[in-house]
Amino acid sequence: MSNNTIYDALIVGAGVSGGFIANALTEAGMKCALLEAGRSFPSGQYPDNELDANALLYWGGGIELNKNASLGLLRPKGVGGGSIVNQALVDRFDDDAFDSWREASGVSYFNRAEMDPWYDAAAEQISIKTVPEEYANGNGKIFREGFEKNGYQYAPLERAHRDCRFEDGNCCIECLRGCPIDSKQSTAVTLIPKARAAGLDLVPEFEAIHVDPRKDLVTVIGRGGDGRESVYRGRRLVLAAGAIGNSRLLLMSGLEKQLPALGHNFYTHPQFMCLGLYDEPVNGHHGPLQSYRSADPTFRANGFKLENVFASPVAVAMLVPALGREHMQRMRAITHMGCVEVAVRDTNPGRITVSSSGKPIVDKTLNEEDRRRRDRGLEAIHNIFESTGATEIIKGNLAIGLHLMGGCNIGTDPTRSVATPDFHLHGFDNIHVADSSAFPNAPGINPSFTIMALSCRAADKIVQGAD
Amino acid sequence: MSTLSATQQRGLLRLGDALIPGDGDMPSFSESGCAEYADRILVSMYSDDRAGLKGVLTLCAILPRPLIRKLFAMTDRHENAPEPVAGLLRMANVGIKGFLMTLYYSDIGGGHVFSKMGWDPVVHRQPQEPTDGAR
Repeated sequence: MSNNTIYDALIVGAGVSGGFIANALTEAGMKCALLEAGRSFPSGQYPDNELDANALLYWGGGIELNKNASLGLLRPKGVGGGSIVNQALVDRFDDDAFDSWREASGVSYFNRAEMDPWYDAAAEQISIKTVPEEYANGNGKIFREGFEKNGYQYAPLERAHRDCRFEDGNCCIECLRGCPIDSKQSTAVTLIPKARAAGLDLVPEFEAIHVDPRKDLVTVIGRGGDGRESVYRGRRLVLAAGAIGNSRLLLMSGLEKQLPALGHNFYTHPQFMCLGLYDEPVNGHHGPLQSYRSADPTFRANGFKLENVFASPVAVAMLVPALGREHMQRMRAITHMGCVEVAVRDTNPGRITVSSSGKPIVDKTLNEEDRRRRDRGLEAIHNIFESTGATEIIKGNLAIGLHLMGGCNIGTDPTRSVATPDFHLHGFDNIHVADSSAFPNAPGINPSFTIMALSCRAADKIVQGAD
Repeated sequence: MSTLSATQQRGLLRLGDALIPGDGDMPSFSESGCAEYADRILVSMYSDDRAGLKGVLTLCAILPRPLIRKLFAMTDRHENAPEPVAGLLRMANVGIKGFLMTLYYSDIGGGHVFSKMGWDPVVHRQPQEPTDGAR
């Protein structure tokens, strides 16, 4: 479907940033189209099995690998994007994260005093609650007990959900394929429906493949689900397709010369999931998937955090070593497994390029410092499992990248950054970006809430500029 | 499995059974019926990844079964190899294992894999009626 409408704004990517910005611009009276490569799922009707979820909710059939296959990248797609499949954690950045961003970018507003109002503005749009400790499952209890026995600090978890009805026995691990009761505050159930009611045009199954930026008009060419090309035009473009999606689109559009830092400065918070085997059932798949977060200043100072998570059988099968019957025997013990992962605040930036067929190529490895951070985290996990009676510990050896950040980083220097502090690309006043691709480096904290805050701030700037 | 040729389908079942042979209670890969759903993953893969996987499946249709298992075990020991060989082994390992484990451990083929593992997460779509005791 091509459209003769000249929109006030085209937004590519209907995830967290796209949803927040689309709603803010539409509410300000701008005519917007939200273009999304993935599908739009009716309320509560997400895939009911992992195979379809991997195929429909992620790029590349579930996982994309970096160049040397040492890092698996999970890149969501579909209306709602990462907010469909994530655990909806809402953490504000601390001074350390913002100090590091300010230093890397030269952007003065990266501090709590100036960002807190934008966190508040984002929080007003969604329901945020603490996961009730009384429903913590066996895996949550292992995490808590292990932290207490080792003198590590932890805290209850805040997440964006409305009412998960844990008293009914609901299990949030099912919501990694999309929340069937619309409790999780994905933009697919919060801001995008609101924006649509106010006049937003939502265009799912439109994969943007080329941008033609002109001073007064931006053209976006894309492919539909049937492979046919169509075109959308707008006075401005907001890129909200994430680190790889935004970088890929701009690279495929030939903007590398004008934007020399494009695709650089890519970070992922590499995560290593570990399993502990217990004699008694753990049932880490019951109830809330996560109940606690690590809040240990020593962990923070050492560049890692631990996550109280569990995983689906497919992911556990990838972690469990051995082959054949031995592998199956181990899989039978899945209900007796505890799980903790270490997320590294990575210091070694990667680079995103694009193959001739349009496939993103990610060159990203861990340097010595990143490996040191990983190993300290693994040591802490070992201590947790050992002190809580695990009979065997399985260390995951494949790093997973869930927090895909950078590639279009914000900064004051056009030779070292892609976007200005005012959220438009250097040299392109009518192309904006405020999602995780704009991050100057890895904060070591869950990025979702800060994407929301930056998007609120960017939307305000765009509306001011449009007046 | 229309995306796969008859040879590739045979290779998928042989490779699947090498990694997931069944254990007397849980079904083997081929017994689970999951191979029927291979298309659903294949269509969402990048074309060059799909071509690589199809090549592996074609090879598995003709290789002796013990050799299939040995070759896969070799990819599992990627840590012992120097780069860039290790990277290629990792890529093969994650690609093959990811494809097969996704098919089998999604439990959509009627093999009742989850019930045999005790995997029973639920989400009640409607609030449950309070029990008599709670009224």
